[in-house]
Amino acid sequence: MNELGNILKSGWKSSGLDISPPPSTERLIASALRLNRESLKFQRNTILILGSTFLMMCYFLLEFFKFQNTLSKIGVGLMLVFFLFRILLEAYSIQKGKKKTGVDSIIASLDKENEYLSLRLKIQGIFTYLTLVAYTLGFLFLVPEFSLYMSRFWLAAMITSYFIPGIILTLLIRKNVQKELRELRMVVELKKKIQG
Amino acid sequence: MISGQKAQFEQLYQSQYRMVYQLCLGFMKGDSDQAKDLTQEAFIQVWNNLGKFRQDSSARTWIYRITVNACLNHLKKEKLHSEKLGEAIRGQVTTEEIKLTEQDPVKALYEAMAGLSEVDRLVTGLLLEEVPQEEIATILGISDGNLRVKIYRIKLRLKKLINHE
Repeated sequence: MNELGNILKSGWKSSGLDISPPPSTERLIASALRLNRESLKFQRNTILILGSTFLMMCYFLLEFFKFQNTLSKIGVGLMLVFFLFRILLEAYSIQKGKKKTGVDSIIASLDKENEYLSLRLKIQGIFTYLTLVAYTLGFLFLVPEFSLYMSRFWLAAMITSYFIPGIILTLLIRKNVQKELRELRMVVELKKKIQG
Repeated sequence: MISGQKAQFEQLYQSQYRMVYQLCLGFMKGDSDQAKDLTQEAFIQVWNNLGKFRQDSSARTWIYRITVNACLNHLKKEKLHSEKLGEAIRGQVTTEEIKLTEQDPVKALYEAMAGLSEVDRLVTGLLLEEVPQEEIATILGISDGNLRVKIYRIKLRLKKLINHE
């Protein structure tokens, strides 16, 4: 073992001698600042897109259509409240994500990541499906009032055009859930590997 | 404020670059391009978290922690890309005997590193860098006893090299 230890130490020492001087810090700092700007921009854009969609929904559902039936009003309430709930969850998740800095001990970092991924899994999974169900229910509550002003054909077309993207969205959510689940399992395995 | 931060970063960068790069190089089994990318990633994290650095641990320990985290993050990303979760962490430990064929000590080092799992490569790198065991345990967040067991297993694994010479 000592012989091996000496070979490895000698290899380590020799490889250390070959290392060229570090490149300039200017470029590195510029990259760090650029990456931070991009990340912030991405987070702002996500919230901005979701926020604008919510405002547009408010305009159409509350101002443009001016629903009269109680059932429709419940439907509008369900759609808006659950959409807002999903936006708030996304904002909370972004805040939580900022706490994973990678400066703690490895086990502590993995614990934080585990906590974050479990939260993402809940948001992407249960809460998104819950939002989707509530949103769909809200939409279906609007159908009786819509049927007063639309022909059967256009009503069927509207419902179909709601469900096709809905199915695609559900498949995308499932894909995201599986990805986050894989990440979570990987973190758990890595922690076991370090502790084992 | 920024200029003070830059000066502090510059000092850390110049003094710790070699050891960060070498640890990444060991982790990457001698792939210098990937090691450079990983070193850059680690120093970007150092820059981003400079304000959070408390003097309760040495700068060296703090940077080692960031480097090991960066290496493991790289590993996670790589494994996610390959979509082979089952092999993700266990993958590197083969049951085959590893054989030291290289005479060049640097090549022999990376050949030996290639026979270890990613986590064991990091521990070996830290040991070769002569980081005290209690500091390694702090970096990993495990107990001293746990680390001793891990080192014992790494030595057993590496011993097979000698047996095959």
